[in-house]
Amino acid sequence: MKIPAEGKLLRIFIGESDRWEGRPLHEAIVLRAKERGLAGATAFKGFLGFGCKSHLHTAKLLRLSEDLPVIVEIVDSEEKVAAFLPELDAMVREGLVTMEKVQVLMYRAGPA
Amino acid sequence: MGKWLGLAAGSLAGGFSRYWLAGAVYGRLGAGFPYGTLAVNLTGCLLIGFFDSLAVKKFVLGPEARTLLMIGFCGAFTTFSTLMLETDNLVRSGETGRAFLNVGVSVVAGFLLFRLGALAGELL
Repeated sequence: MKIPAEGKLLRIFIGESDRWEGRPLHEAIVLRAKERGLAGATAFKGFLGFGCKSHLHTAKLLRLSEDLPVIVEIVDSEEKVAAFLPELDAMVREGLVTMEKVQVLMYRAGPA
Repeated sequence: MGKWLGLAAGSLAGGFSRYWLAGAVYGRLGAGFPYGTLAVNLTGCLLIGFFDSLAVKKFVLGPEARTLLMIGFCGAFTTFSTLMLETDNLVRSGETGRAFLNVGVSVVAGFLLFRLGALAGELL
């Protein structure tokens, strides 16, 4: 699989406890991206942040650590990312989704 | 049987109250320090001091009431484990002074508030 040199990066900011059809939303997004044949997806867990509801979540205070931020990043061609957006739109009921232009310098897998 | 039900009810109420109060305190004071945990621990000390007074000095609280209010409610309302966890988090983020402050204030103010609660119970 190749990503063209000019691609798009989708960055999805959600909460750790967001769910979609019985499973964590971040997991659902990554698995759906895999099903749709996207080049890759990675979920990162944040330890501090606030979003549209202005509730601060932090790993430092137990009572406020229930819904820590999660970011899912997906990189692929503009067409494939655009095709994925409607599905994402249905799944992300709360959060932030951004898209930026990226230059793909390297996309390699080692020997199988 | 009454003792076990009392323990269950007190613990449930204590745990939920802790969750609620800590959340409310962080909402007002922000997340710069473990204010929420401090609030529940100090309030719990005040309460247990008060109940202890009523139980021991005034014989107003019988064994089942003590189980419910002191072992159940106060036990579940306060949290030593979270105090340690959050103190460790402060140490790990380089805030050693605040870590000591967290433990120090919890212990000293906790004890003072216990005595204050006990005094309130005696004066009642």
